[in-house]
Amino acid sequence: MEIHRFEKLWGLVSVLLIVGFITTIAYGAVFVGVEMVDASGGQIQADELNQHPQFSDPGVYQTGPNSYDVYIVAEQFQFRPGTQSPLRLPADSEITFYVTSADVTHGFNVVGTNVNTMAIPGQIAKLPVTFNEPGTYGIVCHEYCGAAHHEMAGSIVVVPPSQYDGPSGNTSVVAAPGDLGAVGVGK
Amino acid sequence: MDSEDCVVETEAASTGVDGLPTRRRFLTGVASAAGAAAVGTRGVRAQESTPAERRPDWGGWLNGLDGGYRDARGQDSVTVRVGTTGNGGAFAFEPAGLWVDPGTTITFQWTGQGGGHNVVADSGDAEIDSGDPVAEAGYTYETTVEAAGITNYVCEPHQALGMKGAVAVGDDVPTVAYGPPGTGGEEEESGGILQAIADSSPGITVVLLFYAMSGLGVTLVLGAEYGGKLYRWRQKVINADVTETEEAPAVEAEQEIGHDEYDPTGTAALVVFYLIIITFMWVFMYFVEFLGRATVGV
Amino acid sequence: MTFIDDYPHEAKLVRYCFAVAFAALGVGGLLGLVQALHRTGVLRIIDSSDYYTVLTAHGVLLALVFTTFFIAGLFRWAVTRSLERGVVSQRYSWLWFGTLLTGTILAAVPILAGFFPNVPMSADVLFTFYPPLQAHPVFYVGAVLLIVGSWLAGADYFRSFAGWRRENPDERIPLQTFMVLTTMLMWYLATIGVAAEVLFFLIPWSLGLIQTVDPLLSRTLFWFFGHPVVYFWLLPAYLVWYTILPKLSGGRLLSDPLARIVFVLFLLLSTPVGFHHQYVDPGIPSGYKFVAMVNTMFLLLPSLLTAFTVVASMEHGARQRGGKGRLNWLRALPWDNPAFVGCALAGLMFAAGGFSGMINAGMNINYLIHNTLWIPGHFHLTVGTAAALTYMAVTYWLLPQLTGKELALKKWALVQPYLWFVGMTLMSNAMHRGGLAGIPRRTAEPQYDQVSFDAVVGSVSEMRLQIALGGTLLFVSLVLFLAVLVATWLGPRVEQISVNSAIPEPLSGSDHAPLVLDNLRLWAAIAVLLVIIAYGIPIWSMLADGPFAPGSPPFPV
Repeated sequence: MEIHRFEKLWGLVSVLLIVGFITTIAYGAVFVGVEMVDASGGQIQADELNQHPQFSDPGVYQTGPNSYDVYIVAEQFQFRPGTQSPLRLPADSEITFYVTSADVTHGFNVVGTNVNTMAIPGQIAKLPVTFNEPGTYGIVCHEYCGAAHHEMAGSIVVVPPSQYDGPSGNTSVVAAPGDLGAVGVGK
Repeated sequence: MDSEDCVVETEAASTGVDGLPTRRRFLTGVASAAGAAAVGTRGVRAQESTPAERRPDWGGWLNGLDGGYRDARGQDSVTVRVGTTGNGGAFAFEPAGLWVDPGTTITFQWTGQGGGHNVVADSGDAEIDSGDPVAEAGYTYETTVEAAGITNYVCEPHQALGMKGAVAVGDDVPTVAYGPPGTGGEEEESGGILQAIADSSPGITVVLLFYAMSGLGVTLVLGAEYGGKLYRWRQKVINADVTETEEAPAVEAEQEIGHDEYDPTGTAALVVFYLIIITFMWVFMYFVEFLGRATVGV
Repeated sequence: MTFIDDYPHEAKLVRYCFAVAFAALGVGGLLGLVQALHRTGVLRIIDSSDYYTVLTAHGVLLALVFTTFFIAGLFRWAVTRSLERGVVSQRYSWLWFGTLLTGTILAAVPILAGFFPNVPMSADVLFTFYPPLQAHPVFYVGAVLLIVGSWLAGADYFRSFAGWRRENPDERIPLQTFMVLTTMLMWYLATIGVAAEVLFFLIPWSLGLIQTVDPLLSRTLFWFFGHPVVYFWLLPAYLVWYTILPKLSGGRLLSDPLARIVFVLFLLLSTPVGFHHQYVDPGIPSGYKFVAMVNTMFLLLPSLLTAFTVVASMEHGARQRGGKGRLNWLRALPWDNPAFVGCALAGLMFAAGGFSGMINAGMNINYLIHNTLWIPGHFHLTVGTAAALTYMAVTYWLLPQLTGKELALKKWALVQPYLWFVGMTLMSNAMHRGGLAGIPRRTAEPQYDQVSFDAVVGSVSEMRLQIALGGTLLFVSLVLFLAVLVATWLGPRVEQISVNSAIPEPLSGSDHAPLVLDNLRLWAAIAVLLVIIAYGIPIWSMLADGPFAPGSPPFPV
């Protein structure tokens, strides 16, 4: 089979380009530490959220001197918390979002960041992140979830650590990391 | 089931954040308002001598919303159903508008439809707060209303859809006359399409007018120019009786280039150029755009 | 004698397929304009809740109906022409057409009923119909029939091939037929996912026979199909670029073997990549996402090879026409031939769309753009231009052969692809930048009190303007195309059309291609194996915790 030498060269270059792309992704994962959303958040029964220790009272839970778990329920058509009043979080601390849905599949995107996931009923999305820049970040639902999908938004206010006075409105439960595990309620 | 379609003014076009107009159901509005536009601004006044009923003046809170109204004064307790059919789904309270005496116990009863609902006061003095949203059928929340006046309440997750209600407590609340369409001192829907256009921003009207005029102009010009041609062409079509069609002969190449004498040097240049662009774009996207933002795991 | 005289039944079948395809394109395109003007706030003539009905119709009509019918017709033409054989059974061919059409109508009725509140039917679920959002059962039945119809059409091509093979046991499969058969094999494998999702889960669920379905499993089965379907749309465009575009350019295809290799690569790699649409889904371990990424990145290879082969074939044609110089030969190409112009501009736009696809394929950089306006920006370049514009362009070349009539309104036909290109450039660049600013897709009013979007380059209001303007230009281009079609259809039969359908032999012919490339069974088997590796364990574990669990009850829309 005769392939023109230019094309053979281009084929080689293409494979190198592809390997380069894969290497970049791997670099991001291994050296920068970017983690993908996976199954470690566990599962949950969407119509039994009120039996879950944290999702029954979603919000900010302090888990250590500089770490917080934030439980958010996405439902038609709000983020709870996040929509009725902004979520307040400190900058430069370890935040872990736990996001699930009470009804249909929603999206959860913190605009201007890479905190972007799907809120799928039955699944819990776990996203550890640190906000280095204080400011107000909008939250958008980007997966069609019904007639008022375009009304579904919220916001997060990230304040400098000195201005943060702890989670308010939620009992500051100091839970050990990994307390959740796979909480399969009533399957 | 419109609770208040006879009372108060035409729904004004509301605007979003940018001041861009959003509009109610234009098409169905056209259909129903076409009749109103034909009739004119006011309907015929009813000639009956029965005095018009008076209802609490909700101040526009319940405009265009489903759920209905009940006057439950004289009762100790009344039930309001939560999540009845309305507002484009199961997003209504029934009744949405309620008038009670002070000391009445209101039982909010969930239908189980429409997802999670709650009942939370938005303005006014009555104590109404059922807490976090609940989706179960048969769930109830009771409250006894003492404070006189009108209290507006909402279902928080479905507020934007129009899941709102109001309770008027006591006789001493502002009221407004209510009667069949055409009676009382209220404005009517008028003008239909023309009204809707007048309500919207002038820019839209100009754009629509421009499109309409252009369309008309183009039609006239083309019609005039091609009308005759079209007729003669159709005559030719109808009278054609070809049964077999040949193809055009193959075009001879100016110069034949065979397999062994061909080097795609231009292509090589183009693909190298493409490679340079996408490599640069990839590096920019990954290291500047992507890694420049707060990222999961970092 | 042209195609309509040599194969009158096949010509009629193809014409009917094209007629349905372009009717769907017309309606879907109009709805697209409504969307572009609505979400940018320029002109809102519907309620925002009806936007989702419009969006469902736009997606289904364009991505499922327009594409499937056009491809079914194009493939029937290609097989007939390259094997020099008609259909095995005329009745059977009308059976598959009828099945496709019935499926279309059954799916379209509930969707359109969503505009009328008094009609108790609706399907505002969008083209992806993710549960627990639920459509009327008739919608799902229509979707299934559309898939089954395409399976029947595929069998039609295989039957013609089997007949040809009996009479030609030692010959290489003619290139166009090879492309059709490999594409259909990929399609059979790909549709298993969505057929299973709809038949075993969504139809019983919408009829109330089962109470809950697992949303994650349903999404996974959908995207099992949802990625290869884009190659189902793209490979017919590749068929045109490989076999017809060189002739239009005045030259010959550079290499037949390379074209076969490319199509085999697509058969192998199109399906085991679906998880790249679910990179940010919970419930799926990241190892499987990584496997999908590697497969996806290697799927770039056949497209990059295609870029070289197709452009080199065009260069060959330009030089045979007298073009000289490193890049000056571009001017010697037939820029006054609408079929050529459409294909060339579609290919150019695909190079840009390919890049945004490379970003989408990156497992972690996907966080940046998932479900933002970048995504429609990407696919309007690929299916919206590379595929759709090529389909329109090749129709200019095919229509005279299928009807025996000369192409009408040629000046408009020449303007149409340029207008499409300009409109798409405006709309798509703004969508990509809007996505980087975080503006969501699939949203009727992406203007929020609590959220502000910061543009990387430019401003959000300028992006909105470009989307509205670009969308309008695209619609005008579509109207031009439909006008050319209708005018041609209404025109007279002529004794000679100005199209010549002969396709010259490639520079490097099929006799140079290794025999193993034609071993379709081998490639199909490897394709199945790769899918089992990519999907076997994840799907099994989603089933193992209960096929309907964690389950969700219906949310009718």
